[in-house]
Amino acid sequence: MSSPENQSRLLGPVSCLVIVSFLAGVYGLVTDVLRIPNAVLFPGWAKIIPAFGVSIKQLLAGLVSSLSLLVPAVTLSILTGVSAGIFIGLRPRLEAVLVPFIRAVNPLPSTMLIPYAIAVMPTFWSSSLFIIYFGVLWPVLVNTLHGVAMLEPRWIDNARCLSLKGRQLVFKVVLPGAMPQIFAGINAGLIRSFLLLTVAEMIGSKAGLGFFVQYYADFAKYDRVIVGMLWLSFVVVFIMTLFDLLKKRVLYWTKKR
Amino acid sequence: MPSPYLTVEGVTFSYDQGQVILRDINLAIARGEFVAVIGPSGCGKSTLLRLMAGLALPRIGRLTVAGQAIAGPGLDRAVVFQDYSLFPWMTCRDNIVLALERAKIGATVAARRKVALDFLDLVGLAQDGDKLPGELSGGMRQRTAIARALAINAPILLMDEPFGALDEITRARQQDLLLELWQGGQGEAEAGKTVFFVTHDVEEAVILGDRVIVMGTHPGRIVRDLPVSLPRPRSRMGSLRHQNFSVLRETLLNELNLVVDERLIPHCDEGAAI
Repeated sequence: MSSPENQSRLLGPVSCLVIVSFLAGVYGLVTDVLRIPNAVLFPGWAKIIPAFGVSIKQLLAGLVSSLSLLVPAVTLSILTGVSAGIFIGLRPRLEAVLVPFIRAVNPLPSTMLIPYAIAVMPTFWSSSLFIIYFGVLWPVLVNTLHGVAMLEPRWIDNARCLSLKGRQLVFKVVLPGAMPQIFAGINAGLIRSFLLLTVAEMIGSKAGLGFFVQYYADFAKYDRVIVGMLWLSFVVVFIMTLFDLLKKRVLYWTKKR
Repeated sequence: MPSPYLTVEGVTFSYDQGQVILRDINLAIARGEFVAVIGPSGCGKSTLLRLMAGLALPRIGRLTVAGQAIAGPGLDRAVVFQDYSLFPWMTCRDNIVLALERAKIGATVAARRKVALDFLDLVGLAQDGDKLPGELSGGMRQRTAIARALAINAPILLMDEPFGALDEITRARQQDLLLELWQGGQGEAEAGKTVFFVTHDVEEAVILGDRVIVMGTHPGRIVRDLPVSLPRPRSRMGSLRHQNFSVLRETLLNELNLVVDERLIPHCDEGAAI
């Protein structure tokens, strides 16, 4: 049972647990026991754990609220980013025209667009949605373009020899062939989406993971802020783990080449 | 000589601004003929195959199949590349099923799956249909590619060093399998498949081909067109033991040496090179 494969599968979670416990121990030692740093900014576990207890309802509600913003925004970004990426990527002349524009827009922090989003979008919620959508769209689009450009010539030859065209070409060859890059783009987009969540939830939100942290930071309730940050990190790790599992499944073939 | 089926007429090919890859190639292949092509690397033998596949189009001249000019890839020509005829994200069976769908063979998915499995069985891979190409050995992948090429029932088979990346024993087995499959399709009312087989292995060319074309470099051109005087049906061992085999092999090796010498010593005239 203790094959090398099983051992290496356990290695990640176990070492993670050890490191987290160690860091938590050090933090507790420094704050609760030795009381070295500023107690307002660095509350000890003695304050954080009760704060978690009283916050749990709010945290769960925040999770639901954040996910109901994140999931549609990210889904929309992936759908439009991937389809636009494939549409443009398969048309080299169009791509040559558009690439400078895409390069120009890609690094713009979508936080800058908040006033515009609020002005243009009908509701606060849709403004928040737009901020996340916009931030995630570009890494997905750019990576999809990259993935299409990096399709191996032999796959294209093969597709041409089979006279694959249109929808079949896209769904049987281009999309799966570009999938490793698409996943890299979604990965980058997801990370961006978590960063943007805090900002997006500043717009008219009454709940959310980002909102929670922001709200208590404004009142200098740092025990609650730390609870919120730990909760957010936990959620991020959970979502990214799910994402990795999905990636492993979809990109199974890349390991077997 | 039967009327040519696959022809190359005065073809010159070069990439956009680059040097001439192929110059004035003329070749006529009869229906059901197995033509092997050898030459040093850079002689344009693979390019010639790509032109036949319609993956590239000639600058000057034309290629025809049954009198029709080749304007692009088509399912009348099945192509087997060295090690990349299959999509790595599809199982072997699905690779064949997709090709069958394009070739309009089998009315339903179930029917196409059945056909795919039949052809996998033909190459001894009935058990491996659900595996990804990456889970198979190089020899098994090539057998899958051959199964796919045969399954779509194209009259022309274009093979670009299909066994080039395989170890010697595997290659020998594949050669026998190919001979068996190809000869199995010959001698019926209609002629069998016309094969254009690119290789860099002289023995392989002699074992498989009815004719061996030798190509030279700079620019790519045909320097010899040698009929293979070995009886059909053949087997690999039978051919190796045949009295004509060593003469054919020597002839081709000499021809190749001339081509290579010429390339190594470009400023010598031919007399001095020998």
